[in-house]
Parts: sequence; structure tokens; C-alpha cells
Amino acid sequence: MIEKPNNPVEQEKVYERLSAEDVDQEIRALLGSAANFARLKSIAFTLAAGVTGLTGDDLLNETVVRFYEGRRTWPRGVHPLVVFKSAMHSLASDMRKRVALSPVDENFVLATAGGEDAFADARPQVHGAATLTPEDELSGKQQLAAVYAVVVSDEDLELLVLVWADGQRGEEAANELDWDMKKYEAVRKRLTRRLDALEPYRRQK
Amino acid sequence: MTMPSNFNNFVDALTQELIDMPDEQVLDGRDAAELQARAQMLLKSARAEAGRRRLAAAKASVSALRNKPTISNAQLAAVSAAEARRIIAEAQNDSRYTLAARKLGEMSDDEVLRLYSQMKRLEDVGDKGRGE
Repeated sequence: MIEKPNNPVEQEKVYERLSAEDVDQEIRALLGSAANFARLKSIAFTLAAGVTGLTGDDLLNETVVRFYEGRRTWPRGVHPLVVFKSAMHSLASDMRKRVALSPVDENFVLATAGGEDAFADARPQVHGAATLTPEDELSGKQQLAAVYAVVVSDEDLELLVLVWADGQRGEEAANELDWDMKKYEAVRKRLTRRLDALEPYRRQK
Repeated sequence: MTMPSNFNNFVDALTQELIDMPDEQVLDGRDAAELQARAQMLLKSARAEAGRRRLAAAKASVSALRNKPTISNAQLAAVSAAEARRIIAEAQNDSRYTLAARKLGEMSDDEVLRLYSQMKRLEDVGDKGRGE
């Protein structure tokens, strides 16, 4: 018997999907605005940060392709930027997992040294020594580290990254930081500009 | 200062803040015309790539269908009239088939084999149709 979750938060919302024609219209409308394209790029650069070999432009391009292919669905009634954010987040996460699972990933040191059971098999063996813990992979620390790297030494930007990462934003975040909204908006603008400077983040070898 | 720990929260907050920001603030200091041109290039190339991928997927699907083994005359010939009679008798009780209400016993071996051959070919066409 399948039990339904009692907690409504655990119940997945079911959204109606847009048709291919409607998806096309949404994408055209979104990309028809220079401001929205700038917003999309900021989100894409941030999501691509920390993923080996992935640039924000690649991520954005692949997401648009998948919407047109029909491999990604577009839920009705959700803000287009949120739809793109979710799709890009999911794609970046998949890429991260693929990179982590690849035997030639830069996160792993390949060696021919045998393990404990090496004597049982005469064939050459390859062992991966993880330089990142699974906890790191799951928490997104690496991606945040890339974001943090572009704001480091600017205390206001660091603080804003910190409160957003804690789940606060808007007035709540401004109050937490003891800033007035004018300062909050000015720092926010500076932070979005700084995020544009995120280069494809490469892990240290 | 400690390293912030929740990337998902950060991205969600960033997205919502970008939505809240007025266009003028988002575009301030940026080349709107260049952004516009890049957006249109992205749209064009992504649509073309999606078309290429859909075409490649369709070709792969047709190719897989072509490579699927179909019933051959040799396979048909290998079935004896008795075996064909047994299979047709079973098919008469199968809702997928509507067979003429003739008694199998009254049909010649040639007729039975011909009917069996038609059945198999129809099955084959049906399988292909479902695979598309």
C-alpha cells in the first residue's frame, strides 16, 4: 500500500505543462528582453560555477535546446526566470554528478597502485582517490566557494552572499544586516555585476 | 568569516532578487543592444540544434525499426500446416484477431498456411506501428 504524505510540504505540486507553441512564445518573450537575458546570464553563471568544464553560456544554451527538444517541460503559472533557474539547476547538477562519476574526472587521482585485493587479479587496476568528500558534492559548497571567490575582500558583498545562502532576502535580509533598503539595493546591484565576472570555475589540480 | 553553506538558498534568493530588480537597474552599465543581439543568436542556434537533435532521434528510431528482424518467408515455410492450424485455432480466441468464421478443418493446408502467413505479416505491421 502506498501511503500519502501527511505533510502538505512533502506533496509535490502538479503543474500543467505548456504546449510546444506556448514554450516557444515564452522563450521568445524572455529572450526578447535585454534585461531578462542579463538576468538569465547572472543565474546561469552562478549555477555553472564550480562545475568542471561548464560555462554559464553552455548551460543557458543547453537549457534552451532542451526546452525546444521537449526534453524539459515548462510548467504553467511559474515565472519564466524561475522555470529557467530550475531547469539550469537540474542540468548543472546532472553534469556535476557525471563529472564526479567519470573515471577521468579532474577530482580524482588515477593510479595503478593495487588495492587490498590486488593480488587476486593480475590485470592492471585503476583506483580513484577522491579529493572531495561526498558531503562536499551534495552540499554545493564547491559552487558557493566559486561565488565566494569573486566577492572575497569586499565585506558588504560577502555579507549579502551569506544572508542569501541562509535563506533570507529583501527587507528581511536588509534588517538582518542592519542596512537601509537603499544600501541593500546598491550592494545587490554590485553583487549581480560581480557574479557576471564568474569565470568557468576550474578546480585546483 | 565562515563560508556560507547553502547554495540552493543562494540561487533561489538571487533569482527572486533579479525578478524584483527594475530593468533599468539590471541594465545599468550594460550594453543592452549587445545583450539583445546575443540573445537572438542564442535563440537561433538553440532552435537549430534542437531541430538537429530531433531529426537525429527520428532517424535513429527509423533505423532501429528497419533493423528489427521481420518474419521471413523462410520462417513461414518452416511452420507445418498442423502447427499453423494450432496457432490459428488459438488466435480465434484472441480478441486481437477477427478471423472469418470458417472451420479450420474444412480448410486445405495451403489455405491454412496462407492465412497463417497473413496473420504473421499483420502482427509484424502492428508491432512496427506501435514502435513508432
